[in-house]
Amino acid sequence: MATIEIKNLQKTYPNNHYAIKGIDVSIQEGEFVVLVGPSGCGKSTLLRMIAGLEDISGGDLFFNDKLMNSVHPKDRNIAMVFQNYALYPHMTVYDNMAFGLKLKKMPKAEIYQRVTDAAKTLGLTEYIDRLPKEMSGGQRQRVAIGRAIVRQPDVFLFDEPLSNLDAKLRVQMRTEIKRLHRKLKNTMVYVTHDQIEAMAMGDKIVILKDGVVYQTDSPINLFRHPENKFVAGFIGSPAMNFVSGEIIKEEGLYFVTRGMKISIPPPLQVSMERYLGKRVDMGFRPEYVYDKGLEKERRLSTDVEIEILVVENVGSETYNHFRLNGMDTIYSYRSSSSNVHIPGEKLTVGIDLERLHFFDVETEESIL
Amino acid sequence: MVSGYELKIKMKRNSSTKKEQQFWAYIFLFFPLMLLAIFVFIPILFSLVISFFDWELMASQQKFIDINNYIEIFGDKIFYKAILNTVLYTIGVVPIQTMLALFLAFVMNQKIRGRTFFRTAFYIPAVTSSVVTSIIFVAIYSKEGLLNSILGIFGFAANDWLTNPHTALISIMMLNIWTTSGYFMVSFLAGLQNIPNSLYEAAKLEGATKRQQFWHITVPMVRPVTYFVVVMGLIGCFQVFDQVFVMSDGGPNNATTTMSFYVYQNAFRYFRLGYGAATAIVLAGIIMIVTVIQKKYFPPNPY
Repeated sequence: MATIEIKNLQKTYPNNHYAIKGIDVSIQEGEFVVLVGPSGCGKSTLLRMIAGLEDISGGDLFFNDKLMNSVHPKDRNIAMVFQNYALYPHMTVYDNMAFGLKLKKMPKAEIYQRVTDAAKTLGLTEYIDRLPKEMSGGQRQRVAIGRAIVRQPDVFLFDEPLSNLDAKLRVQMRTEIKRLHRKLKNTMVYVTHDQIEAMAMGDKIVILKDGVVYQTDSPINLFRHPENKFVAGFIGSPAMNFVSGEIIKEEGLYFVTRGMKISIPPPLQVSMERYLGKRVDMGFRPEYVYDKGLEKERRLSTDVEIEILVVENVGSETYNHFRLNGMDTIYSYRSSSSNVHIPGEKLTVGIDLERLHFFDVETEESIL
Repeated sequence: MVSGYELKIKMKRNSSTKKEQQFWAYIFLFFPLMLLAIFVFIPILFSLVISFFDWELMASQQKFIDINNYIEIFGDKIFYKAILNTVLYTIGVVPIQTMLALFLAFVMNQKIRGRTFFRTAFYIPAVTSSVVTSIIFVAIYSKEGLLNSILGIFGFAANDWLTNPHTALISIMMLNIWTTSGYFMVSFLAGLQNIPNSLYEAAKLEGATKRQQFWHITVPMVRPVTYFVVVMGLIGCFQVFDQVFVMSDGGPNNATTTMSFYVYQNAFRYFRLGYGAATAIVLAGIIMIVTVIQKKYFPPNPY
């Protein structure tokens, strides 16, 4: 068990490329933290710095208030699961799991106990004598997790462990890892580029881009209260719709753009005052667009006329993609699978006024 | 959408290209195959044929002597000496050159300064003519040569390395190890670069030292390359000829007569072509048996 404190951590490469530009994250004991972001955002580098596989160029890393910057990886009491499993191909499942313990010169009986226990937890008992090549991707990743478990580390590190698996197995394995976390209650740091995986797994999510933290919060807060346009667009699938417009004043404040005039909800009236006459970006999620003909209860915006371009019916729900008044951008709107539209259909929709987000055009920060 | 008609045309075009491709493939294969046949396959068969004759270069009629050449081989003391020398040579050279090549590759694969220079330096002997390196080593091994001067500093008495029957074979072995290690190092380097870095990282996290990483990851992971290097090394050693020819001429007192040198001696010194061919066939047989044994008991890739 351990807490991890990351203070102003930096990674610079010899060619003066900044991979990590001063990151602060604090991880509580037993927390499941997901580092997520687009490729090249520095999430793997950050994880590898926690592991000790990358040198720290600046800032401090603490485990349980102990400075770890120059502690050798093997002395950090961590275990890591790699994307490509990193199993030793010439060793059986048993030997793969036992390798690290053998190096520690642990008594044979204890090694046997730990490995068989881990194998049981992960449902690998019948494969214990197999070589990695005789197993499927999911089983291999389970062995890699087993290899981490037997070491009884303070911290588990996962570097995109499910990326090599097919979609169905990925969903199954992420449940298993969560279950494992509930059982072991260890501190776990998990890297992924998949925001759905991040949302599904994390107690806390750290969203990174270009070596900078954009927001750290619980999944639901990230979804409801994104602090900036990047987070708003990154979390959620299909992604949030953005439309650029102007703030005008009539009997109240309004956001206007081609063919859309939306009254600013009361809580935002005050803070939007300073944007009067200026351009802002408005964000609205596909989930909060409603067919005016069907939705009567929610407080919706004024009518927005749209024409459906593409319909994706995924069974449980339908994603409708549309254009607004001849604008190039394609927006999306989610409807229930019982309300199926057809391409070319013209429709009047409204946006839930409680669920609007506004962003400063320059800083891209949320206007609260 | 591809309509049925278009599909037909596509298939037709594909099948005709395939035929065309095959035609050109055979054309391209034909010429190298001809060359190989004239200079390799036919001579091999021909040597098998003449090994049953008392073959004289000038004679108009060759005398068929059945398996008498082979019978003679099994009573030939020098032939046994040649086999013994070749086996000693192989046992001395193959393990050392393999381990040295792997070790060099492991070191050259680390991030060290002047890596390119060292890689080139170790590889140069492999691309230098063996006659040239042999002549250089004759000079190094001579009584007033470099080796004796260096050993002299440490107080060792001068030795005439190539004319001393006790050291002649070892001297040639050392030359061969030096020339081939760099060559096989390149093979190992390619093998090492195929090992995913995450294996080393995983081992590092588990507390494996560099040495443990070498024995538990590098060595097993390059096993297919090791197999290749050992096979090529065995074949090379069984056939060692040019160094012997240049440096010691099989002497002193047959101390460095190897099997291929003995084949050469019989065929082109004593002009006993039939007998020489028979020894060559026996040599080929031995190489084949050893390779089969190796393949059976040390398969290239068990995992």
